Amino acid sequence: MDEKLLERRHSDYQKAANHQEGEYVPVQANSGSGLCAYAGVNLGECIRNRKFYEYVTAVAEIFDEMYADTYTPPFPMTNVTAEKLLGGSSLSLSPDGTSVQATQKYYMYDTDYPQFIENHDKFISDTLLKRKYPHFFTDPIEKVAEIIKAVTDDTNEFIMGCAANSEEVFGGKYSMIPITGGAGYMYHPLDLLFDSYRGIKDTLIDLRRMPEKVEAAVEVIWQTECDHLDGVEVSYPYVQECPHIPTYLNRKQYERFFWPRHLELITNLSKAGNKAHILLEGRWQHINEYFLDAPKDSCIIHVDDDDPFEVYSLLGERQTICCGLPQKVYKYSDKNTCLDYVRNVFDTMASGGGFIFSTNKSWETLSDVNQNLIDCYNFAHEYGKY
Amino acid sequence: MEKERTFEDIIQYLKNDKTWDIDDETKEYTLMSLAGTLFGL
Repeated sequence: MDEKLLERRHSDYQKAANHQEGEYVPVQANSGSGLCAYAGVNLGECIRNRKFYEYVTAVAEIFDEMYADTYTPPFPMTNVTAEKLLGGSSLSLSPDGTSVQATQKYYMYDTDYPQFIENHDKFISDTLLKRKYPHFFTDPIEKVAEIIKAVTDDTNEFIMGCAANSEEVFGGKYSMIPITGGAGYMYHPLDLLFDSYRGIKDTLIDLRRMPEKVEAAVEVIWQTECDHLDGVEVSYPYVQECPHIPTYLNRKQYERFFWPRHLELITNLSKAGNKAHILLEGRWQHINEYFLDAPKDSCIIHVDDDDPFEVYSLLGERQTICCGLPQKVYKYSDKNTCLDYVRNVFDTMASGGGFIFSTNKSWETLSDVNQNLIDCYNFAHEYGKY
Repeated sequence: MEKERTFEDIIQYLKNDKTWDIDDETKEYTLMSLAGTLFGL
C-alpha cells in the first residue's frame, strides 16, 4: 500500500466534492462483472467454487494498465446457491457466465395495500413469504431449516468474502479508495416499494389509480425499513444511492411522491457533514432542477443518460458533477473522438473543483470494457492535473 | 387438525437448532432480518 498515494486520493476526492481543486481531478472506476470477463475469469465458476479472492483479483487486474483513483467494492449481484436451493432468484447469472440479469416477479397485489399498511412485518412473513416459498409452510420443518441455513450461511460467507478481499486487493495492492461505505446506504421508501414489492409496471399504475394508498404504504416503509440517515457520525466516506423510479415519474409525481423524503435524506446527511453520492439512473432532465434546493455541496450527481453538459450547466455551481465518458461514446467512436470528448468535458467542468471523472454506466459485460475506455481513463488522469 | 405453520414457527425452530454451526451474534442478526433476506432473494 502506498500511503502517500492513498492520502492524495482521499484529499483530491473530498476537495472535488467541496468545489475545491486538489492535485488532480479524481478518476472514478465503476464496478461490473465485465471486468472479471476482461481478465478471462468466469464469474459463475468463482461463485460456485467460493473463489472470492480470485474473483476480486480478476476485477482489479485492469488497473495494472488503466488509471483510477476510486473503486466500488465488487459484489456479484447473484447467489447461485440461493438460486439452486430456493428454486429461483430475482437476480441470476446469464448463460455467458459473466453478466447478471434481473427478473421481475412480484408477490404483492393491488388489493394488498390495506394489510401492508396495517401490519407490514406480519404481511411480509405471513403472506408474501407464503406466496414466494409455499413449500416452506408445507414441507417437513427439518428440511426447510436445512435449506434456510444453507442459503443464509452462503449469503453471509459471500458478503464477507467479497468485502474482505476487496479491501485487501484494491486498497492494499492498488492504493485505491472506496467511493462509499461506512455510513450506510441511502434508499428512498418509494424505491423500495418499486424494487421489492410492486415492480415497475404496477407501481406506476398504482400511482395513478390509488395514490393515497401508495403514500400510506411509502410512509410505512419509511418508518419500518428506511435508514433516515439522521444518526450518521462520519463525514466521509460518502453514502451511495441508486434511485430507480424517478426516471419514470413526471414532475408532478416526483414533487409529490419522491422529492420531499429525498430532500430530507440529503439534508440529514448534509447536517452530519456527509454527502449523498447519487447515480441518476436513466434520464432526470425534467426533474434535475430540484437539486438546486438541496444544500450546497450536499450531493455528488453521477450522470447516467442525461446530457452531462446540460446537467453541469444547471447544477455545476451548486453540486459536484460526476461524468465524463458516456458508454455510447467510448463503445462506438474512434480513439481520437473519445479523447476529444473527454478533453471538452475537462475544459468545461474541471476548473474550481466540483467535478469527478467517470463513465456514466457500470461495466457489466465484456463489451463494456475496451481499449478506448483504458485510453480515456489514462488520459483523464494525465489531463486532470491542476 | 394440525395447526397451519407460520413463519414464526420456522424462526423458533432455527433459534433452538443446536446443529447450526453459527455464532450467537450472527445467528441473532440473521434471524432478525431473515424474512426480509429471503423475500429479497
